[in-house]
Amino acid sequence: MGKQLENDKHSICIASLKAGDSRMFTRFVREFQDMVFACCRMMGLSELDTEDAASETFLAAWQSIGKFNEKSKLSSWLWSIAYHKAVDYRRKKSSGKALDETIDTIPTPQTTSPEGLENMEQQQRLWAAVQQLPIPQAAAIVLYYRESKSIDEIAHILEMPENTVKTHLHRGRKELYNQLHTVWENDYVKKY
Amino acid sequence: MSKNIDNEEQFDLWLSTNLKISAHSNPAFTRKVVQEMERLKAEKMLRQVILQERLMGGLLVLALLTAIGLLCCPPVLRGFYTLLEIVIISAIHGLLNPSPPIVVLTALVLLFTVSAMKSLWNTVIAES
Repeated sequence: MGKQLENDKHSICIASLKAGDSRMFTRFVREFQDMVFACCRMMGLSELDTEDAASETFLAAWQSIGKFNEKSKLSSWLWSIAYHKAVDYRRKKSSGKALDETIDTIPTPQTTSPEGLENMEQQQRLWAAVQQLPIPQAAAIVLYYRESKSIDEIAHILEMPENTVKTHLHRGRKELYNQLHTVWENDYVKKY
Repeated sequence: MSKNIDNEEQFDLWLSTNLKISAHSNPAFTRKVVQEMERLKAEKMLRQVILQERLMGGLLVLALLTAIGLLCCPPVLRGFYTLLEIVIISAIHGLLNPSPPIVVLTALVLLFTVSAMKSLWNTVIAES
């Protein structure tokens, strides 16, 4: 029922976007901006480049919405555009900038409580570790764990076979575990 | 073995939770993107209008050139003068003996001529 409702909502959204409805475009940007920013930041783009790439992603989506055939989900289609934009930006910048320099762009949620600060530190360490992964591994990890996409959806977005996605997920997860198991264990022990 | 699986599940859960933080920071982002979209939309519309006007202008010029070209052929010119003669005589006759259909027809011809002249004038202004 909920899924059907969501599908209907997205169908209406797509139809309105195809008709050039500006208000729907505003809602579309609001709904998906977090996902697009996460995709760009996962690639280790600077704050400025993230915003530019995200902005270009939405404008490209608006310009090519007529070609969207609704075989895939709207979010998957948008993710795919954002991913390619971010790869382009990363490629442009990679000539003169090391990835380590961009780690200060990891999302920083606003919080002041000690527990919140501790969580924030954990999240920043996790995002820093994700940014250090090779792009396909980082993309698979973010899509699977953050966006809750299925393996076949990830395969479709990243244009690779499902088995390759599974391999990237396995390797990425293993690498994250090796880097972060102490952080995770401390958190786990504290909670249970 | 089961402890390992449990650990893996817990780690997966931890990954999901901690990756799901808000990645967006600039509240003015939506406004900026929408403004940019409106600008692109306006540019697209302007391009379409310019293209339409150019097309109309081109077609008008082509029609005029074809008409002038055809008038250069004696048989067409003769036919044109004969037609003109019939039209003028009919118009004079109509004006001397006005009846509702003739008045309506004259008004329609006048309206059409004025709007065609106006469209031609606008195209000339736009082109210049």
